Amino acid sequence: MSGEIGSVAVPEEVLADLSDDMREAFEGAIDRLEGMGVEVQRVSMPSLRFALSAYYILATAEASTNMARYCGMRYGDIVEDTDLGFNEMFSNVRSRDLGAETKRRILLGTFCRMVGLRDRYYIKALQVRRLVIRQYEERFREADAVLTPTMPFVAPRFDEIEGMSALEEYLADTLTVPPNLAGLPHISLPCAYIEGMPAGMQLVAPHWKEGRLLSLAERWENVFQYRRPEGRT
Amino acid sequence: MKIGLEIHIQLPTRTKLFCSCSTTGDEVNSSVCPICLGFPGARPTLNRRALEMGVAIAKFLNCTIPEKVWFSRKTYFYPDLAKNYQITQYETPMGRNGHFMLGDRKIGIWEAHIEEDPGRIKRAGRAGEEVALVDYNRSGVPLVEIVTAPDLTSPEEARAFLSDLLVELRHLVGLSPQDETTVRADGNISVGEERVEIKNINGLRNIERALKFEAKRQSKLLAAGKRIVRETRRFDEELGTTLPSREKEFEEDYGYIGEPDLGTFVIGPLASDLDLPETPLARASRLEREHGLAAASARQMVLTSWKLADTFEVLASRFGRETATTWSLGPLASHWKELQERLGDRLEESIVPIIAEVHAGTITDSEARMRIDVLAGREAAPVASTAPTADDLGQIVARLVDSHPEVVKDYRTNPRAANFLIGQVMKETQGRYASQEVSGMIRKELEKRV
Ligand SMILES: [Zn+2]
Repeated sequence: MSGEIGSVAVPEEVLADLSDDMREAFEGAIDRLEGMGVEVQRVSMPSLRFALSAYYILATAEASTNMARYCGMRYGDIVEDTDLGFNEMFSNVRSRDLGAETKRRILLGTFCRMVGLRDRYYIKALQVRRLVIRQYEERFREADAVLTPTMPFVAPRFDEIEGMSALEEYLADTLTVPPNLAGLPHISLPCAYIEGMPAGMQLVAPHWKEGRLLSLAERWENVFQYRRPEGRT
Repeated sequence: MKIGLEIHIQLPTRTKLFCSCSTTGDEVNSSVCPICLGFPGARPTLNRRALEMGVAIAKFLNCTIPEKVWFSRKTYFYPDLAKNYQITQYETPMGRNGHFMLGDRKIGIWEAHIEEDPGRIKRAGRAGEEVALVDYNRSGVPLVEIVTAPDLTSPEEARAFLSDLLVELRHLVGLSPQDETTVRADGNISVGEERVEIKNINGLRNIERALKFEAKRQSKLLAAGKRIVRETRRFDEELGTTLPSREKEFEEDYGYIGEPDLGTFVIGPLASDLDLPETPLARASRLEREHGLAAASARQMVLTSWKLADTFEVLASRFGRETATTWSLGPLASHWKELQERLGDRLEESIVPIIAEVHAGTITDSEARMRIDVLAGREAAPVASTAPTADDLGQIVARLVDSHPEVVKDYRTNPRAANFLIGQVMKETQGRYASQEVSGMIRKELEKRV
């Protein structure tokens, strides 16, 4: 595991969707990286905007089949339902025992792979995934890593999460999803503090280039003062 | 009449398609593991042997084979399906657009793919208190599914096709001996415009019966000026009739997605490097072509025994097609089983000298026939109380030569006279000695007395 990061590509597309304080924190981190001698390339990766949608289609399509086995045959409680036909029995068990977020993902995932909709959602999402992979590959020809913030806004507190819709929650993943979709190694480093809350930056490297990520993280630790929770050293 | 078949045949692997469980489990639910029971988090691993067999079958069926293949999840809820999805091949079957020669007729093969079998539901208990139990021994057993074009024109032809296909696959991948009863098929049949699908028919005989019944049913409807409804039916083996399927008619929607737990498999090089062995019916048509055998005779010969065809080819190369044909299809074929049982590996070395002599004219046809009969144990001579040894052969020969002075006399002028004694010895020893050994010893014994 060797290799240094001499250049990073920053996709402009992601900057538009950042909260103001996050954008400011991220630009500050970029300045500091440049100060360390890292070349920063402002680039365009249009497919990143669709990565989140593609991810939720693929992940829920897979999850909806993963969850199919929890139907009462061997997983789930069927005591009172044994006289029913299997379809009805399975539906009862699943309606009763699965949680709201699980059901939401099963419904979404099943919808996306139905005849007549499959091409429009599931297959299209696979195509987006290919495109995301290809655009990373293009970037890696010019830069050693792709740099974005880790989240588009500061991590919410539990009481703030309660007020968020499912879609707003999913949007928190918008920057971590693309490297997952592409299957690429990536690392998140604290890069600023916003009203005491940490803000992170994320570096994505090509396959087998984890070494670059770790060596940059080490260099970063030398120039950036981490704040650790009080009471710990 | 147009008939198309979707055929399911078990691949004869030792272990299941995605786990190391044995494909043969005696006791109910004895050959199972977290993978074939669909435990949460259990991951499948592809059985390489099954993949190779799938490729061999696709290549044998003259299919176009893709460079790489992957698997898909076919989702439907059913109590015997452990994960409530079946791992199968959807976008990339092992092969597409192939054909199979049924005699001179080219039967189109739309595709061949491999997939896992579900478990089996068994009903138990008294009527009214019946319970359904699931045996997962079969869950994950590898199957090959072969889909034909609607190129078959009668139920008889459909059966002949299946029977020929099984003969070839049996040799190609080594199917289980029960394949004719365990083969499963869905049949599509249309006498007029609309087609009817008969689902899940078991065994060669029932497949023909179901198609025959359905052909007759549709013809009667048409003759009465009625329309045929496009539908799915099932075959009742007891009644011998097809019935509307009890399952609700619904648009089949299996929500196929790629199986994320298995990778892609590059099979292009595997397919192109694979040397397929010559299959029985292919061999029969080669024998027909090269040696001018009648189609039926060539077929009978290879189906009687692969080794009979070997012997035929040896005889043909040494003595020409006429002699080879006469003797292979005649006395050898009719006594083949006995000859194999009694002579085993020595069969060829015992037979060839006899045919050589008859071909050279040194013995007559009937003498040769008799010697083959004797080798096959057909004419039982009185059996000696103790098993003969090589010394016994010497004694038997000496005794026979002594008791036939007229042969000794003849032999001076006509060496072929020895053949009578050879036949006698072969008869008495029931073919326990190679004819070469016997004739050698007799000639030696005769020479002593000349
Ligand atoms: Zn298993």
